[in-house]
Amino acid sequence: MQGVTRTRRPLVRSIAAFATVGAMVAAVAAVGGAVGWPRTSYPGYPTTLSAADIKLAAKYIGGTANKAATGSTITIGFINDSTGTPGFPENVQGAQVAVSFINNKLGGIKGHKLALHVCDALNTDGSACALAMVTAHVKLVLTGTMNTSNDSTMYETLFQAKIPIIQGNDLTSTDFSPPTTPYKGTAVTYMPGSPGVLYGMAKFLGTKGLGSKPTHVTVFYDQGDTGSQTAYNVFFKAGSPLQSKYLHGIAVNGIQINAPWSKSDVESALSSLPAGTILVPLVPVGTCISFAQALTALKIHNTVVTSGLCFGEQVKKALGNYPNGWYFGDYGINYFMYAKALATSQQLAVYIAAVDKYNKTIDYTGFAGPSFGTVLTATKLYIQAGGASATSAKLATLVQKFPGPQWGISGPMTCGHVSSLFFPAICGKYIGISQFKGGKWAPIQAAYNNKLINAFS
Amino acid sequence: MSSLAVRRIRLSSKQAPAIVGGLLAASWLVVLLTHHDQLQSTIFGIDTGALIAAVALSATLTYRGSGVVNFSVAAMAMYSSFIFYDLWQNGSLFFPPPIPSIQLVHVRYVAGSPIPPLPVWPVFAITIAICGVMGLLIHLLVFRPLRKAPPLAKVVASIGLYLVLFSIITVRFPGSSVLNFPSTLLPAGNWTFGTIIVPENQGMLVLAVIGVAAVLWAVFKFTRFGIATRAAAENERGALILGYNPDRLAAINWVLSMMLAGAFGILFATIQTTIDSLQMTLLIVPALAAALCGRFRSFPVVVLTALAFGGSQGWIQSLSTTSWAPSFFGYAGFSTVIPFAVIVIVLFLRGERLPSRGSDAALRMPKAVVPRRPVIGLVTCLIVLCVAAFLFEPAWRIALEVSACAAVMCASLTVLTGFMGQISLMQMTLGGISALVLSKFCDAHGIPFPFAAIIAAGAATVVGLVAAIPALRIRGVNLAVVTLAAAVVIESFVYNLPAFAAGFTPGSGINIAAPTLLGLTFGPESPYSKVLGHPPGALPDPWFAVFCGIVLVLVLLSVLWIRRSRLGRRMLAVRSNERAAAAAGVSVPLTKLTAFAISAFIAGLGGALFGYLSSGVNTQTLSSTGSLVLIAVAYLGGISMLEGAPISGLLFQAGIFAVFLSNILHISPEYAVYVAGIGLIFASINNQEGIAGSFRDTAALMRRRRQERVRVQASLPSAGGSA
Repeated sequence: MQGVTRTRRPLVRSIAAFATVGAMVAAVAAVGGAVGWPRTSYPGYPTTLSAADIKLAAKYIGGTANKAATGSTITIGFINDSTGTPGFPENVQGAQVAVSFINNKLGGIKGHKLALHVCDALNTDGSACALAMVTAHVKLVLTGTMNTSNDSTMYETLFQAKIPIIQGNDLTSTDFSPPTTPYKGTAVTYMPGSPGVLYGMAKFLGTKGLGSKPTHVTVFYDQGDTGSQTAYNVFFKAGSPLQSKYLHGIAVNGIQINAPWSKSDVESALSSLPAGTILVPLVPVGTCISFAQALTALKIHNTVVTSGLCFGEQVKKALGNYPNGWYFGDYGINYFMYAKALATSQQLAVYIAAVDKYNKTIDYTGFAGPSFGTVLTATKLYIQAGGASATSAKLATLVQKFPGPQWGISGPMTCGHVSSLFFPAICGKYIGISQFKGGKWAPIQAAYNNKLINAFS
Repeated sequence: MSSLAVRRIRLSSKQAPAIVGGLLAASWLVVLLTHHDQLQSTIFGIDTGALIAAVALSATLTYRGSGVVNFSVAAMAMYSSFIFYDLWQNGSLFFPPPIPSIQLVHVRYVAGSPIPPLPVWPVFAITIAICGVMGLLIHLLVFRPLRKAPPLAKVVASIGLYLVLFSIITVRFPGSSVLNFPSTLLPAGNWTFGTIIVPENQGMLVLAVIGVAAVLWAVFKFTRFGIATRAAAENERGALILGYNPDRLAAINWVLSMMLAGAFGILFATIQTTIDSLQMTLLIVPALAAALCGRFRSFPVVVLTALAFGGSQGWIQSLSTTSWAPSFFGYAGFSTVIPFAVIVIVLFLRGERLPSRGSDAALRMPKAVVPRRPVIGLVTCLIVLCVAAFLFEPAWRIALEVSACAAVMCASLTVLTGFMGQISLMQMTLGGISALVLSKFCDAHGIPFPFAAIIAAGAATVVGLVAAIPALRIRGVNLAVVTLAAAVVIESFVYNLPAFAAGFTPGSGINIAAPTLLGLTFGPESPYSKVLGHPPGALPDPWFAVFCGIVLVLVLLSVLWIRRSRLGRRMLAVRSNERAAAAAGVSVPLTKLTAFAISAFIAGLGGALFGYLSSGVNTQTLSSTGSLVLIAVAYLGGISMLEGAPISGLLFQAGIFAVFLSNILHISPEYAVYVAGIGLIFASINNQEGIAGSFRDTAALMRRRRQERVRVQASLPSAGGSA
């Protein structure tokens, strides 16, 4: 939940309007500071799971607060690229935290225990995972992060078995445009996904999100990450529709990398770029670290706008803290700014507290959070479908018609709204941009200040 | 005034490449000195060049000391950096499974993060000592037993070692990377020369490797140890007579080599502060390229070439931002083309083998025996496969399909390596080329099965023939290096060309439609009618397994025909002795080209099968690492025998053996590569004919015993007979 139904327009047009609205904003800020939203500085998230947290989550899924599940087990499938380079094991970890939370504190699925049948797609191939799901007779499958560009077999297998899919933080074209022949099934993601974040970043740059429209942007995209490579081709490459809509007048340069890039690789690239270019690294976390180190070593202070791939405790371990001045694209809220009055932020607080209770060792700042939310949302739909008596067909209908939003994701959302842009599976729309500066996080265009970016408008 | 006589200058095959190389280097230097930004970018790449140089020096040391081209030396550099990290960060020393780690020092945690318990320099010293011990063990346990083995056995043993080291890290460190390697081993400042910045740690690394090369040059030129090593390399028997122990010399060189690789691996990681296991391990390609340029002899040439490779990566990066540079300059992976091109040009121009070691090696290649009743065997194999396809559970059925596809790929190595003795480390990437053509060309233009698969395999054949051109003048280990470099180029550069990359625009995926013939679709996802009581609609479609089995049998029948034909005999003759074969009237170049073409076509068919299996191009399987795993299992199964290919297919990753490990023994499939690597080392030492050879020998032994029993019984006087 977000309390925001549309994006506020930038404060321009006339001095009178500016003054009026400016006074209103000042008043809201003064009042909001007293209740925690909006604020100019934000505390970190509390880590204790409170009764209010449990009640909030139980209400969301339709469960029973403070009740442990004792009945027979209901299994949901979970397919994820856990091992390999890159691998995303945190998706499974976040999902398992959700399972523990649901079973111990939310009454399970109508009293039945929830379990995940996990399959590592990188290790066993997406199609083998799909077969494993069919053999295990699961009725609903969730995905974590899939980075293999040929998972159509996985979708076809699950669709043939009429098993609906709620996707997670997927990155590839097959995920956002799953095959519809010979079988048409249900596969959706309730998040904006990597296309949403990248569309939103392009819009942010082109609509003076940095204060003024840049003249030169350099995009670093990973050849191995299908999402970012094709995102570059669609969003930033000269002549693309987004280019003409938002990036007109901006010289966009693309540099393809083979992640992970080392610090010296980044230094080589930076030394030949025009001064003042905005740097947009769409790269995995290891290369993010190399970027930060190279910029520090060369004393380069260009503006950096990057994605949530650069979040992670590993960044703090390697660099001491997040890179100063960097802008990060996210789903409207982030892991470091707690605004109690903001419902999505409160949902994130529940997640962080659950991590502290059920598995302190995971890196909670990456994809684990959205996976936690996916499991909670899937549980909600399962309960609505009847719990143990739910059928795949009923679940498929509910999955398709879910009005949203997913737990922890800024809404609203509509499934099927971006079909004209080749992403029929994407339901989420809104993303945010936040900045880390002077040791603090601040929202630039985010849920915190009612400036969520509608990525697909 | 007297006229000047015109003198014709003749350059030897050694002088020409040196002069050309020198001119190119001088030209490059002039360009750099006149373009500041290009010079700066080049300088930023030299730390990678320093690590490449260290790995190349290590490879040169092991070659000079023991005659082994060590494909695992970059993996050793990578492995040592993980040992260092685990010891420094966690106070723990890890070992190959199943040996548990040892917690050497207790670690304190503050706010959930470990506080490194040990200072970096003592940890560095301990790690280097461990590397030395590992080098000694590798010599004693792996390469000393292979002293008299043919080059093929040594190559596969070092590949096995590569797989073992790589898989240990994959299992021990999920994600196979470290992102917070300590940076305090070397100073972090900058040296400034006018407007040029040289990071101090990178500069020191380069100076260190140059210093090491100088020391090695001096040792090998002036010290008794160095002279003895050179002597043993020329003539082992002569060295023995003079009182030198070649075995001890080899052991010392192995220890030094591993310590050198380990030290520079750690120092490189401390500059990068991140380690990626795969990226570091693949530096073996430019390292071997540099070592080849130095002919595995000249330390200075090795270092200069390696530094040039490293610098060229930064230079290419800089050029890609200019307006005149072609677009492919900016494609990641283009820098892998440079070492490959250098290898091919240098080796092709030189046209010589590596300086051979004067050892008493008994150059016995694996036997390439024709099976006794091959057709019956193949038909039996097909029947078993068909029955299994309809009876197996889905997980086993898909493993069966993977094994069948892999068996076809292994058959390509039977022809090329088993019969011809040519080592190719690019077969899976040839399959990848086939799969990409199948997707992007054949399917896109509606070309039906089976013509689509044949055209795709044809495309792989064309690429294979291009790879065969260097093979006309180079062979053995040199060819292994060339093909590995080609595999890395295909994986890093070709796979990611815009024409092949998947995209968000419609029709831009790399999907492959299921094969359809006469209205029947038999891809793994196609539903089928109820057969043998199996529920309808259960996937994968068993008929796809039958299809794979039929293709496998046809391929093996073709391989059998080749073996029995004149072509097969020519191949074996060339494998045994090229000069003798040429003297006997065999056209060695034509035979090689034919073998490469056939092998590449079979690999292309295998790639098409993998493509149908995945309904797309799985670039993770059809990769350079996949090619190494392929030759590992092919050797284990029996690389020179017809029956070796199906056995090898069972051992391939995600095949029957992997499912057996996970479903029956409850061992993670991640260990499959580890087990394959150890098995490969064992097979190269003890059983060059592989599992198939063992079966054959056992069957032959049983036959002989049976015949002996019959003979004995026949010779006994019959009971109740007349006196």
